[in-house]
Amino acid sequence: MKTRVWIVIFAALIAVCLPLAFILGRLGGGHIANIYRDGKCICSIDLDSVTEGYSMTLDDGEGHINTIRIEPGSICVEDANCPDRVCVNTGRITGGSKPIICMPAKLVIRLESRPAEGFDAETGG
Amino acid sequence: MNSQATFGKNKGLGRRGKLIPALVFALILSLVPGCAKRARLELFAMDTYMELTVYGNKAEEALAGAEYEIKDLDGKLSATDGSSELSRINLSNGEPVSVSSDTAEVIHNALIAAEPLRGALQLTLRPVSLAWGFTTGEYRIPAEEELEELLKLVDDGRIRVDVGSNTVALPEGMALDLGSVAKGYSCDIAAAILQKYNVSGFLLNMGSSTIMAWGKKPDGGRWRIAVRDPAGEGYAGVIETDGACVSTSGGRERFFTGEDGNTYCHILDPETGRPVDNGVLAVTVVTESGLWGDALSTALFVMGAEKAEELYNSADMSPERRRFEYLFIMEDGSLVLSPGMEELFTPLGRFAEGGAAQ
Repeated sequence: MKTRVWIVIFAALIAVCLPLAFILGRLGGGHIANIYRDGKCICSIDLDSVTEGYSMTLDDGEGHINTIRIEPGSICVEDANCPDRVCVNTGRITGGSKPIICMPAKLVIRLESRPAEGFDAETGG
Repeated sequence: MNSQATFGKNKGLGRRGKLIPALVFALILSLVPGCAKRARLELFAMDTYMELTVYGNKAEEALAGAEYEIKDLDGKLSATDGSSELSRINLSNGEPVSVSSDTAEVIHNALIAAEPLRGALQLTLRPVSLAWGFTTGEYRIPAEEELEELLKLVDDGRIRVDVGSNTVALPEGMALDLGSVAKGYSCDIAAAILQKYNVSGFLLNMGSSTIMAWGKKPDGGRWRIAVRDPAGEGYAGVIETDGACVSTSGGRERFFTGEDGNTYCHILDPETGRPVDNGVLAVTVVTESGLWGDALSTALFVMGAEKAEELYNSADMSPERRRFEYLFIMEDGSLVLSPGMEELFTPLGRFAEGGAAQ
């Protein structure tokens, strides 16, 4: 095969892949909040489409109640009846891979977008 | 005719002609992330939420093995589950208790890890922790006299562990809590299982306070572990590593506000029996072992930055014996890093501005 054919293929790949990578990168920046109970997704909220803040109460039927506050681009647990209140103390999440976790209610709230920095995990205590 | 034969017969291609196809293939490969098989698992265990990701041909099998072991250890080492082996020890009234090799080993290894930590890590702090309500959520501020009495029950030197017969003996009234080392130990055990399956890489996120990255990332890059800014929503920086355990202890996620209006974090100083209040917001350590990392991050949080530096430079901490690097995030907004951490850590956000690192 001629060298110039390879050059054309190489250029074509770059021409196709670079815009694709850019678009995929942009898509990854969205703010979808997924709420999981015991590993199952029970609610999905597009935080970018929220124009006015609102609250909702989640009751697992076993006495665990979490009040979730949804604002444009962010989400938090504003109140809970769990003893340690780690979910409330976690505060508002707007991005990154840090989930809000309520162990007693087996509740996880996670923003599915990954931060632009491309971290594999977050550490904190 | 296959392409290899064509390349072989085309004498006109030369070195440049071979280089270009190679570049095209390299580009294609680089654009196909995750050629390795990937398995992922989320689970609630050890009072936290874990995310385990494994890469390799036997990733699913390996992950199932790791999951089984973590759940098994959770059942044995829980201080709140009345049927756990740890609870049997705590309720033994001073009688020796037969336990599994896992339980004997984690206590034995934790005591060895604590040896050079100058008393800053005590497994027998549970009676004091209970008085503050950190294990039950019924928070209160114990009186000084009460703390003085309870501190008489805090002495890891009185734990008797026999790893030959797998027995543990604890004097009456004393109680163990392995919360400071159980996740790290489980991380080590899970890692050993995954490596037996010859997986190519894994990331064990044992609830963000203990994270182990090992092997190759599918994209070939280094593992990037972000360190949260404990005083804000963003990041203090990022640790990049080819494989290590990253452990963090801090007081900003588990705390309560007392009737006096002060906040009290869940990590207690074994000397005073009171929550640590020494100007440290969080400490992150990088180690090879999960248990060592967990033990160390808790102890350094208690000790503070100055004593950490002394420990780092002491003969006990020679690189051959216990290698570690540390990062302190202080209340005044400064960072204190060990020399090796400076090579691993890149500050971000407010820490990248104005040279906050010391």
